[in-house]
Amino acid sequence: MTNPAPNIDMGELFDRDPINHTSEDIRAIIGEYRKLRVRFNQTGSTKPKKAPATPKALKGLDTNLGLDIKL
Amino acid sequence: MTTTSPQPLSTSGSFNESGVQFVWDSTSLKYAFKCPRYYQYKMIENYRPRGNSVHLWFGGHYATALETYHKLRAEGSSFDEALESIIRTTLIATWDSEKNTPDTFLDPKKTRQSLIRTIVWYLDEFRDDKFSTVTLDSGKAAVELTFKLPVDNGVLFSGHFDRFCEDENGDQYVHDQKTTGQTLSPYYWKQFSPDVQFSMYSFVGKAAFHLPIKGVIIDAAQVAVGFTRFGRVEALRSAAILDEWYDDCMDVIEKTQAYTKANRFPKNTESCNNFGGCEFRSICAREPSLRKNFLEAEFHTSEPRWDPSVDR
Repeated sequence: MTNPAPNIDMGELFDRDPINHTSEDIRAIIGEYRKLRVRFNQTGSTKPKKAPATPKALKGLDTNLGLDIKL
Repeated sequence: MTTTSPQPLSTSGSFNESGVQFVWDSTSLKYAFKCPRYYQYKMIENYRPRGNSVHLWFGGHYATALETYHKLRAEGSSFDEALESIIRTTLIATWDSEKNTPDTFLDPKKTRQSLIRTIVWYLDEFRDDKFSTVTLDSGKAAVELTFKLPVDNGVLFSGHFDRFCEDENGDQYVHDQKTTGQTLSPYYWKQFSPDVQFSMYSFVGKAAFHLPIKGVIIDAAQVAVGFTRFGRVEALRSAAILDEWYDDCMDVIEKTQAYTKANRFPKNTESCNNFGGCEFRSICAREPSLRKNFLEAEFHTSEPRWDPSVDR
């Protein structure tokens, strides 16, 4: 079974009468949950990882201290 | 390993003309073990909480899906064919065609989407399982097995197995699935030993199906809002433990039948606070003369009444 194309609308699939679902619809649902399982096993969460935020303490901190150090 | 299936018996209900129960399944046995008054309200008077239970809905569809999966696999379907088939039938079974809407409950964890997720994740988790389905004498796979086993004093044990499975050493087990919102901690697993349902399954697997059942394999699914986590334990039952369970069981049945004949069901107040509290605790706390009114207001009696003699 191949994984479905990305960005399928799971909400729409679950809100539609399943009697009319095609095999592609069913496989898309299975594929989507498989992707979530892989993500959960890798990260401990099914939510996409956000880019790490810049620590507040570093925001606005001028790291150019203008020192001229010769070793 | 091949085996012989027991012959089904014809019965016309679980209660005799005096209203005394003689066909017992694990559900009614649990009620009787728990508290005679609880047994009276649930089995004799058939009171149920108002509204549908999301836990019964979720657990029922989950068990049906997995049972069907094992049946399809035993009949020759590939993994993907069986998975696709049960996802389709589960989606259809959880769709209210009259309202043209999906089944919905006010529970953040047990939803239609988490049900489908749990089925997919479970089967992927145990895709290369070391346990395979036992084949019966008839050549049929040991799935969806209903039993009625005559025991002592005119009592019949009845019930339904999802599946018998065996490992690579030929050790055989009853296979059962549970779903829960709880964390799968040692505290969670402790509830299955001792346990009426799984002792009965082990006893009947040996006595009725003539299988050398070692115990029950329990696969539990912890269903959370965003994920499902799985765990597995073997709940083993030795011959001595089953002998003791059987004697206890017959003792409880005999006492419960005597309570029914006398129409007097004492309360076991030590079990009122177990598992978050008995659903009838507020009723039992009332004045006896007022209880009936509160039962009628807070519960309903569903038809048909639970009948262990009816095959699933």
